[in-house]
Amino acid sequence: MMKHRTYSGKLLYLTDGVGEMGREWFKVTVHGDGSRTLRSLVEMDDDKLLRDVVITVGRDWKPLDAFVRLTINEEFVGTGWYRFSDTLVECEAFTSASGRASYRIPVAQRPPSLGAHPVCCDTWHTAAAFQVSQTPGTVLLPQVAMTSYLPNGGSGPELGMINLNVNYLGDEDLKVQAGTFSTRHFASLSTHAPADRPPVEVWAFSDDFIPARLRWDLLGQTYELVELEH
Amino acid sequence: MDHRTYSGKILYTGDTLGERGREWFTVTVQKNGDRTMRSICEMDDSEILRDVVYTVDRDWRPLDAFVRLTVKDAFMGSGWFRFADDFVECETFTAETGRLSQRIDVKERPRTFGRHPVACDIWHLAAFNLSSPEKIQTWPNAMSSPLSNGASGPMIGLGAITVEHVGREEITVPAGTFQCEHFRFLLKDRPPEELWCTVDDYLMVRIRWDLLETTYELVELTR
Repeated sequence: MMKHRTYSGKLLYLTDGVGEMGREWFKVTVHGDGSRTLRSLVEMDDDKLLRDVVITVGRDWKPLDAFVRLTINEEFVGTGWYRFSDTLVECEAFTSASGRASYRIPVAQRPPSLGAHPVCCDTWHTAAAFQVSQTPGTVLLPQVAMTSYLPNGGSGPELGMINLNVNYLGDEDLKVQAGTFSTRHFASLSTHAPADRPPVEVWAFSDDFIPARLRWDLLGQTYELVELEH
Repeated sequence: MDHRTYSGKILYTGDTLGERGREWFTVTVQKNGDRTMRSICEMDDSEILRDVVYTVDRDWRPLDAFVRLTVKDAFMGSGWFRFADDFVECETFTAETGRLSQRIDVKERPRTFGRHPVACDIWHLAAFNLSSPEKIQTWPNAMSSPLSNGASGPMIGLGAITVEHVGREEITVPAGTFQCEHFRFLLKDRPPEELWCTVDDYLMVRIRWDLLETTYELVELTR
């Protein structure tokens, strides 16, 4: 019999003054060695963006490999594959903008996280930070890999790096459509961000760091968990 | 969003074992005819967990794919495939071989790609020319693993597939009753694999393979 455990759910993307403008389905398997794989399917209505992400992280929440595929306005944008080791991050991609591209970035240690743009991945940044410190305060995650520098992730996929400050603000009980959860509240922001850019706020629960809610004032959007099988 | 979506679940049932695996799939079909299938397969006896994300064009020809495998709860491989008119390439990392890049020149883009979810087995059949009087047809295809259960690689293998069209049949499974075309994979030194599918979306309804003493049936469908 299969030894892994599985949880899955759905998030809604809610735009201020508009309502539902997107949705994200996720399914995660957690394996005996502590590694876990997220499959995420994202629809963003306003940008007509459809994104598939499959990402696997180790017990330490650091990425091992990933796949990203993007379409915008019903047209192909790109497909790419990522692999992470203790010395190298690589990406093999084919995009409508750049054609075939290979990226290789030597690293001193395996990056702490990958920003592939599903809000589940935004939440996994906070899990990576929580491995560094379990008390409120700011943790700097150096060399977080990114698949796109755009706020909606609507380019590439390519390979870039940012440094990310993740601030653990404390614990909050939070009620969303999927239930009431005891969450950890974080705010994360790239160190390269403009001075007036607001952080991404994340409320995540359990040691699986399941997103109950995210809020990003930059996009005027709130992301809420509406379905969960756990 | 302008694409349409359908999704479902398939059960793998052994003649004596009962339920021995399951497969979930979600397909999006875009305005230009491209369609992407996301599939997750669990095979209990061999402890295989397989993820596949596979895209074909409006003619059902492969464009790109991702395959990830674990066996007995341990990593086996992760690979990315891309198909052009004159080559097939694969970037892969496997527990057995480490990092590998493959590029194989071809005279024409493979008509189909076998990644081993049974929902994907059906997509081979879209290459069959139903308007032809030839009831047995052969075409070049690519595979991510030569094993029956797909538990190797992933990496590129090239070959050919031979299919017999048996005829039209009405098939009832837990997900409903469907007007199906019945096909048969003709395999060397192995019993044929029997397949029933709709031909609008090449939706897998039932597969029977005596080699594995297993029947695969659609048990849930949302569209």
